Amino acid sequence: MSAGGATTSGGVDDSQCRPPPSRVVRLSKLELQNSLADILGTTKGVALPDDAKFLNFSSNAEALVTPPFAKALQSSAEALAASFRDHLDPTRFGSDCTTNDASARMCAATFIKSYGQKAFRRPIAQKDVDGLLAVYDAGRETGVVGDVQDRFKAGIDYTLRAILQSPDFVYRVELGDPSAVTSGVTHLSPYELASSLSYMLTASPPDDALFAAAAADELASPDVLETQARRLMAAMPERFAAQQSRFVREWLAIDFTVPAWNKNTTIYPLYSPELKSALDQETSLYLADWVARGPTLTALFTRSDTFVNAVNAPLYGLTASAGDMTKVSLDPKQRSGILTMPAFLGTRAHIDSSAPILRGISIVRGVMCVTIPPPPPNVPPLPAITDTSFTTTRDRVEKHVAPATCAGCHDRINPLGYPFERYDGLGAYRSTENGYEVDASGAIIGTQSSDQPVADAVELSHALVNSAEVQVCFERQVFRSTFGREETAADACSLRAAAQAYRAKDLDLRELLVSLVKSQTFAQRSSN
Amino acid sequence: MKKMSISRRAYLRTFAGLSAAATAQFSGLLRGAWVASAADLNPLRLLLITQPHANTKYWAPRMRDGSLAEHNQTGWTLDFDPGVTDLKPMEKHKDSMVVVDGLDFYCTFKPGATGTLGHNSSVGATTGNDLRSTTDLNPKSASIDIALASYLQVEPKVFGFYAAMSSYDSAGNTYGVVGVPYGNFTAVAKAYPELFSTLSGGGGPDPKAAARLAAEKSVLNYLNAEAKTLRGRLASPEKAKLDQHLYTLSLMEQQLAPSMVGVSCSKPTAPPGPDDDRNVAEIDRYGFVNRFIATLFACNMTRVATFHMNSQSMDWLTLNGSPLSAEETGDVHNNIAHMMKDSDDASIRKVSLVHNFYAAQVSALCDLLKSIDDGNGRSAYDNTIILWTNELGDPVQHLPYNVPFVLAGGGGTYEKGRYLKYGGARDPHAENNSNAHNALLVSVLNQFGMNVSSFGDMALTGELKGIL
Repeated sequence: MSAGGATTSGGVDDSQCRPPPSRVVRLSKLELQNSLADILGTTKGVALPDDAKFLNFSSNAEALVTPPFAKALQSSAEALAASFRDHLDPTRFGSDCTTNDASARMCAATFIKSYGQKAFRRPIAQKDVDGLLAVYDAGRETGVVGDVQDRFKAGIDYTLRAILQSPDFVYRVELGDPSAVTSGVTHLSPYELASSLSYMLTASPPDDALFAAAAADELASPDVLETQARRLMAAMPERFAAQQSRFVREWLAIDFTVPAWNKNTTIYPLYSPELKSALDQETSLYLADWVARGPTLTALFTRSDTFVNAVNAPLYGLTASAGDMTKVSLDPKQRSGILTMPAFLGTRAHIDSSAPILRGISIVRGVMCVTIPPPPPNVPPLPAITDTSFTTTRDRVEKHVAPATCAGCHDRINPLGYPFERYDGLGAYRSTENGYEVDASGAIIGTQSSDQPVADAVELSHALVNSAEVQVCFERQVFRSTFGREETAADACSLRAAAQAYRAKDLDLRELLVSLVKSQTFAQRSSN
Repeated sequence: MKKMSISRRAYLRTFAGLSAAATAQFSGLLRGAWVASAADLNPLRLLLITQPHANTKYWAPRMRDGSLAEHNQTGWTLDFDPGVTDLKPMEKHKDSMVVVDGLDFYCTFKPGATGTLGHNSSVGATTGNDLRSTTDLNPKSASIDIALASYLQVEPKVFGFYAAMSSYDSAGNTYGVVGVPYGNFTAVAKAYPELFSTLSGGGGPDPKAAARLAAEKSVLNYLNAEAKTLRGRLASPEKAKLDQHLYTLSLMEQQLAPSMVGVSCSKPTAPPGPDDDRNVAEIDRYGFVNRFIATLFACNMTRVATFHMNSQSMDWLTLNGSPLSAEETGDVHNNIAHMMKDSDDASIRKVSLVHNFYAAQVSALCDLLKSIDDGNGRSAYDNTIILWTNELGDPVQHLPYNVPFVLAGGGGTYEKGRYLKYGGARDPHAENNSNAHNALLVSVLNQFGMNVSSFGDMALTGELKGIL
């Protein structure tokens, strides 16, 4: 894709389109965990801090190596290295690793080339070997004097610690070749492309096939990148599904750890920590199944099946056996996709009631990408649910936001929250509240082409899928999660192509991702 | 201190997901001043010490002419009397001390409080909070050592072998986050293997310590070199990420030295078994705990340690060369503390004698900490805040007024060598109390970067006036 001329297409000024600047990206917690698992076959002893999120996403390109992160990584590396040392068979790295220190050092070099390449996701240069052998030499001295094998293991212990804390491991680089700049643009190196691709789709380092393609310099073509992207999705289905599940959870701020999930058991007798755990598991199964069956936006917002066992089935008015969850069909008049699942509904709720304002804000901000300012200071809290002067939650909210000063925002927010009033704070379906019939009518308001009334959340979910504004917002959210940053005008051409690709294929997330992989935003960098 | 340039947006992106406390910890980043961001690897430590029986009139420092020191005065002495006085063993550490007089456990006797004016108010000493109720004698919230350890994300080490501060509270006045008594090490022989089984050496230098230190340094050297190489490949906006990385590595390097101190970071002498301390003389337990705490700091095994000192029986005490009666040394609480009379100087001196013993233990621990090389020309003592407090403020009536506090150690930014005297009406019905000791607890916590406005009783806000 060229930097483009001064043409305009689909509202995009092509003249502004250009590759983003070069950068380094610190691996996220999930990416580090997957990487360590792939390198060492275990993550036992690994305890990393949660990621600082940007725009809800843990794939945050601005993540830093802060003292808490570095300390946690150091402790994790020490635990992994100690375990590795305990199970180390020196013969894996040469036939003469325990005769004397000199021969053992050659085995250490073999270890460095092997594990260094896995960790750094590129071939190991001699300077890499030399630097790590210096660590090996120092580490060796902590072993038992005269015991070559113990000294070898001690050296490997410290060498592995260094590898696992190395900037070459911790950062993914997108620098391109500074000596091959054409018209201010350079291309990512084959190994940079391989890492960017694999972490983008699977939150994992390149597999052997992708690494081999990079080594053969076969990744320069967008078509080859597409082939590799589709191969990775198929070859690593669990990692791909986990990555897309993470996207959905973070996009919709689904979080079972928030205080809202400590439900009041007097009001919600069905609630228990076990139920919360089951709903979390249900969500994982639901999203994995969504990815496996074709991750379209339509399916995400309109499917009416889910997974239950004896713990969470009662929430749906069902019965099920204990143990593993099984897939069940729900009443499509009551449930329509992720927005009508307890995962979303219970997170965007209070411990003792539903929360139409919070739910509405989630739709406005997250699903429609509309900027709504925070509430002004000194807004009084909602009246307590024990206040019997109100009939329903909706009645309580409507009277609360009745002052004209509230209308500017809440006239747009609340009509997108009221449709969810058919679900209580736990996400259970209800047609009445406090003996009064629930009014779940609402509307999409303020869009260019999608304004319409809706009777409930089922209608709303279907309307949202068909909304051009929502489709565009979904593209932007995927972009943000993929690249760990906010989109700019320079990305407009890449976004337009991605939008066209996924709209042509039933709003399939995979097509959106593949198109982004083939874009200049992915493969090229502006020289700095 | 090195300064960094990084955008506010990048800061917000990076720390948006952190807790308020963690964000506050790094708030220096926003100002471009990196001092605060070093908090997580800052070697500053807290040593909390408690003891029973309040103080006597021989506790407060005096000037050389025998007059009482005044508020904010320096140049005083703790060795002002040929007889036994409470804090005399601390004379050699006075230049790094702040003696704080006249604070009250207001949280336990303010209007609406459920604490009493007796033993039960001692829960306020370390928690700054009231009892949960008149029947539940646990406090409403955590003690300062546990709160700080939680903030610093370190495991606190708490020693309390005796009846603890309050005679009715075996927990020793260390409480977890919901006011639940926090488990102490209850015997030195039992604590020893739990704490030090992984340390090498047996009282002597660790022969491999130097090799480990060199290996650790080689790892950091490698990481530094790689980070610098990567930084060199980056354009200016991205260099800030590696600048942060390099700064983090420099902090880790600073921390490396004290964690690998050769002589001090070695397995201390083991107490004789079995693990119920039946073969450890009570007086010797103090020496063991002191050495344990010093070793924990020398080895960087924690940054928060607590020693609840209390012996109900102190049969080793002698006054002016003469042993005290068996009744007195067998039940110090009832037969020495409660027997003190203002008109009987000998009875006061006996209480001072008890306090003098505790002060000697604290002084010995200070000596040990001063012997530990913390790197950069500082000792562990220089990097420690010692907060030393008492169960109550009156040996006889056990009132929660005028409770003695001592700050020692070279850590903290407050000016040392001072005597701070607070006072005034202690009306249980007052709506506020400027002498509430919560202010001191807040000041100590903020020295660690917690930036809290209150601790324990949320209604009692602000730092101790005049501490800084």
